[in-house]
Amino acid sequence: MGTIRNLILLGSNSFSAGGPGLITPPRPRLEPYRRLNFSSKAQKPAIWLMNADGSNQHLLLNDPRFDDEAPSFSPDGSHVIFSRCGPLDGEFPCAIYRVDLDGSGLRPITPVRIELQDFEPVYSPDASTIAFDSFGRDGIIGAVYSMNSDGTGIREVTEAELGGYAPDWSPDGRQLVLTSKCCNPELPSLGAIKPDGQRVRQLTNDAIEVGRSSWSPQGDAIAFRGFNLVTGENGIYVINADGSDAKLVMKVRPTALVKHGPRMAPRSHFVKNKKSGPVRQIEDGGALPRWGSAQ
Amino acid sequence: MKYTKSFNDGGAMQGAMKCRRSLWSALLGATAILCTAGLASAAGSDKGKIVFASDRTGSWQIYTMNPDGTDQFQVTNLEPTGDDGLSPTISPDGKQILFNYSGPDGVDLYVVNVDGTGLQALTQDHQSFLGHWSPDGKKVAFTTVSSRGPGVIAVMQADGSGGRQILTTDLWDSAAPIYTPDGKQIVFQSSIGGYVSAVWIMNSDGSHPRRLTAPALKGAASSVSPDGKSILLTNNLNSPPALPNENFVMNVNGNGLKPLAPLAQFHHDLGATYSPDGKEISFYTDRFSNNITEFTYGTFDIVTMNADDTNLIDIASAVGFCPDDGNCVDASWGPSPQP
Repeated sequence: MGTIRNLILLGSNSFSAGGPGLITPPRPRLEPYRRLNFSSKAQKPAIWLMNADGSNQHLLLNDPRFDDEAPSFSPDGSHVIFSRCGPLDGEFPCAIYRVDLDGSGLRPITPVRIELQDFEPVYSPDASTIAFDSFGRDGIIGAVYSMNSDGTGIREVTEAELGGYAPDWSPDGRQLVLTSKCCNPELPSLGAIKPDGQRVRQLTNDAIEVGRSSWSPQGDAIAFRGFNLVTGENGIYVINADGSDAKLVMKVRPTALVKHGPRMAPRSHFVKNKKSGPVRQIEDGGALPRWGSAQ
Repeated sequence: MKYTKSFNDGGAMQGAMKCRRSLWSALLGATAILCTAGLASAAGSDKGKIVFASDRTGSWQIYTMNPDGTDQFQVTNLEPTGDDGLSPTISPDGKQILFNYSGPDGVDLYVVNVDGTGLQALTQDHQSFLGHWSPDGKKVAFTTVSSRGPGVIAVMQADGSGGRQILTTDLWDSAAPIYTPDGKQIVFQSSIGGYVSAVWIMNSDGSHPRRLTAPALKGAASSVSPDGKSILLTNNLNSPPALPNENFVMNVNGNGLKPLAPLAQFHHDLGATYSPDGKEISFYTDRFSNNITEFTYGTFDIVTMNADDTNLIDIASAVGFCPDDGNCVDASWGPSPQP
């Protein structure tokens, strides 16, 4: 069993704790057994695994009946949690599932219900809790929820009026970053909130329309997709965790930018250095990737 | 449950043939119907009129009928439209019908006399619909699309003149206003607060809005009782067809919620409205439909029953079929024309 190290990549704007990181030198060397997982939209969304350099791509799950999306690793790298959407009574509800890295142990964590779309699960750093977004739960249009890792104890993190989606944990597990219309009903912005739903902080100003985000492993910064309404610049931004100093680090073609839908994704995966380093395309056609630590 | 089925040929001014179908035959899907003919066609005329939309002639038109299903009359002869949601409602004096109609440029509110004359547009913004008369007939509350995007509740003069007053926030969708009988309040459905749908009430000037139903119900009001004490509503608005729509009644303060006329899985009861005397309820339902699937709505009949949840009567069968959204028949009970 190799060393476990957290590597997270969400869309094209994620941080990694090792390898071609966006934020912090020194950069630990990638271990050869470390893999990314991601969803492929080449045909139907399915869960794939690959190394951080794009090599060794292989399917983890590929059931044609379902769309499997938004995977993320467990902190110990033993399994993946993801959103599985499939037909039920004429609808296509989504529930949170887990599967071991060898494809075994597939089982739902949240129940499949026709009116529910549970999406984008992510473990807390201590693996005790899973945050996710859910649409249609208990008559609420959409909000961020958390639950125990076995699926019990589902509770609202954000109020119905706040909404929110695409949560990611701070490395210390004390906060979640999410996208919501917390502070401007016309503009999705980046917010931070405690897991109990208290102390919502708006991190971005009203000039930037925000998509998905990812907290840096060091906790000092957050990367997010954004569209600057003033300058018209689409791309990947990095902002300090206190909401200061938002910078565009990579321009993205408008057609490739995810605005704020929970299912939209760029066409390709890139790995990029924070300071305008070279962008390497490591895969084509995938979506919603996350770095992870695989055993 | 026993119910009585009135059979109509869909033509105007026909004598009634009243038919009774037993629960057993209904459960078996049997087609045998026991009928007794000869009930007076004008029997329902003093109990108001039911207005509804039907595509029985090949295009969606507005009809009226007596509450026993007799005396069906085609009011409009509208150009065919792909939008089947006409949402007609009878004026307080019983002489006009307010409805919405989608032309090539969008949806607008119209009025027409109950005899089919006097058709005129009330709005020309091509984004106004789901109107409801004030009790004195002088104003119309309706739904329109705000510049920000969400639907809002607005009010204007009943002839469409003058300006309009927006009553609800444009941050969330609101729709389908209903005046209370005293005209002091408006009941409506809204997503205010981030909910799929809930029943709300506010003062008629838009002040003091408050939510009456729990979010999980996904409720939408369809009628306020003539005494102003009760609200009829349905559940599972904006939900997949596989979830049933059931009628409920509650106090106007939101307390005392209870279901009416339980129905089987995948079926839908919609648009419950009170009779003018408040003793009965009409609604449209696909509970008798044989062509329903978990993916769709079935063919709608119009039924009546006592307000105490007894004596369900199928007064008009196969009135309309809108499998995708269920928004078509829109039956509504109103007063007969006043002299």
